[in-house]
Amino acid sequence: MSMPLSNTAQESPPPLLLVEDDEALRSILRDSLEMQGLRVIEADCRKTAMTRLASNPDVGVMLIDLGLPPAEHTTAEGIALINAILADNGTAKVIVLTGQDEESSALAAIREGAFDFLAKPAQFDDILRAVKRALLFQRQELQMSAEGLTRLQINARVSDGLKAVREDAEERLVRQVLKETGFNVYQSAARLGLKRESIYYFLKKFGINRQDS
Amino acid sequence: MIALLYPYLILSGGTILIVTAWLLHQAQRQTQRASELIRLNESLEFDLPDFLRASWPALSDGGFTGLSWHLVWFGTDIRETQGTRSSVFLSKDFDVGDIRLHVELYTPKHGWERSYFSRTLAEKFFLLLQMDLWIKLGSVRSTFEQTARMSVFLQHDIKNMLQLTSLAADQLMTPVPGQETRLLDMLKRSLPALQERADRILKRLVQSSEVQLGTRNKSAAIDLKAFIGNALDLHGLPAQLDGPDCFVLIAPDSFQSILDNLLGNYVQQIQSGNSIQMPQLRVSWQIHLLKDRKPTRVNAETLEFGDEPRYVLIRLYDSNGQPCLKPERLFEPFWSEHGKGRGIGLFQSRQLATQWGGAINIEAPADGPLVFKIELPAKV
Repeated sequence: MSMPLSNTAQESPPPLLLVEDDEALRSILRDSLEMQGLRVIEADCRKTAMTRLASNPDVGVMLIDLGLPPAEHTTAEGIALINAILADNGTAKVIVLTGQDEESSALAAIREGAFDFLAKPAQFDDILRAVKRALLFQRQELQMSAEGLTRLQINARVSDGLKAVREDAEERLVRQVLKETGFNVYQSAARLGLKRESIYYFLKKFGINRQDS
Repeated sequence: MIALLYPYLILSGGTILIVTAWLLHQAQRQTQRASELIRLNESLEFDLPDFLRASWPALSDGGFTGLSWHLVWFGTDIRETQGTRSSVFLSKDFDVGDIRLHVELYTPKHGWERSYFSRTLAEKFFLLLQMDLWIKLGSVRSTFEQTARMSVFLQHDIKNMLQLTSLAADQLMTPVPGQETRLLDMLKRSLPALQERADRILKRLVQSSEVQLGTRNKSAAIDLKAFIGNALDLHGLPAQLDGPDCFVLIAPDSFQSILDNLLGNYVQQIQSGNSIQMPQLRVSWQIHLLKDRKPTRVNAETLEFGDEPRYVLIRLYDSNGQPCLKPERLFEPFWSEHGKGRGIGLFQSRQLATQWGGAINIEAPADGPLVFKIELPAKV
């Protein structure tokens, strides 16, 4: 067992969102993580998870189960949650902890942009290591962001050509910058070196509205 | 002059009558043979190898001189011949999944009319063979699907149990200094949860075997209003209850299972977003005496002197619910609307109610909400 979580930064680590429908398991996971000095916010389904995220914008790392109600025995809800989280926050670090079929779930989770994958039953050390790594990455990316650098993750199909990749990158970048500026079009345009009209054009083109960001 | 033709006309007419009567007789005989084959197939429970082996007497009566078949039954080669082979035969090949069959039916060198009747009987025989083949494959596939689905469900629970145990063990092996009290609290909470989980898995397995084997626990007198209220609370469902005080006379486990399956299904429907308006669940019941049907499995200890077992009819529906588009599928085992469930809950509920001499039916109006009607033995 590792030592209690020590953050290299002076301030305490940002809270972690734990999404698990099994109440008993969620409770023991929460206690185990909290005993390591982490703050944990809980949710039992996709809807609650999105509500918790909306009211806790500083959450950057999520530990989620893929089998969530109302479809506990498929990965559909978990995958939909990863999608929703990453559409909302491109730099979020999603760790999947699931009992679903290992290979297909891992592939689906990685395809959707999950940061790490752990199959149940996982050792607590492995879970903690994944959480620490995700927190470290998130911290570094926040630092990069403060320096004006944004890290984007794009799943590109070579056969779709460069245009599709460019559009995907454009959309993610615009969403990310809008989120970082609190949907301030003027600041976003300044950061991206664009005119405000161009930002409005992207908002219309990608169907982005304030709720999305 | 015409009178000279009378004997010929009478002869021709007579011949036509005799031929027609003979043909009718032949047709009747073959219909009889075909019915014999159908009954035989039913009595052998549509088992293909048994049917092939037992069908020869009926086919022989139908005018065939021999039957020869070559069956590859899940990798095993079987060849058999009954009667005698000849150069004239009707044959058919079947090849589906792990089953292959080649059948030859030998006929004597008859005239066209016998050949016609033989062909008709042979086609019916081949049709029965094809039906048996599909029934076998269907049952094999559904058994595998059922096992796989059950395994997925058990895996989910067991993996969570393992994860829970593993986390508890990890924390115990290397406790975080200064957090011992919290660790103890955590274990106090998690161990009963672990036991509850193991109980749930066991209960699911027991219920599944009970439904399939028809075994039951003893009936008890269950306060209907309190029991339904408790089940609704467990599922977090507010509902309007309306009915007289009465006691349901079945095993509490069975009643709990029936309600859990129905309410669980309803919760799933709400969560799937199939209900547009605010859910408004209503449960009402009334007592009635069915003259032609009396509860037969009620435990005598649950009845007091003068009690007459009756039936309670419970109606469960959401007054804001949507019409059910596929009512015929509701009780079909292993059918799940979105592939999210095992597809066995409602089927199991119905089986349980039937085992206690009750029933579960539905009303599915095209322009109104779906109503579940649960009929169970009861006393006032």
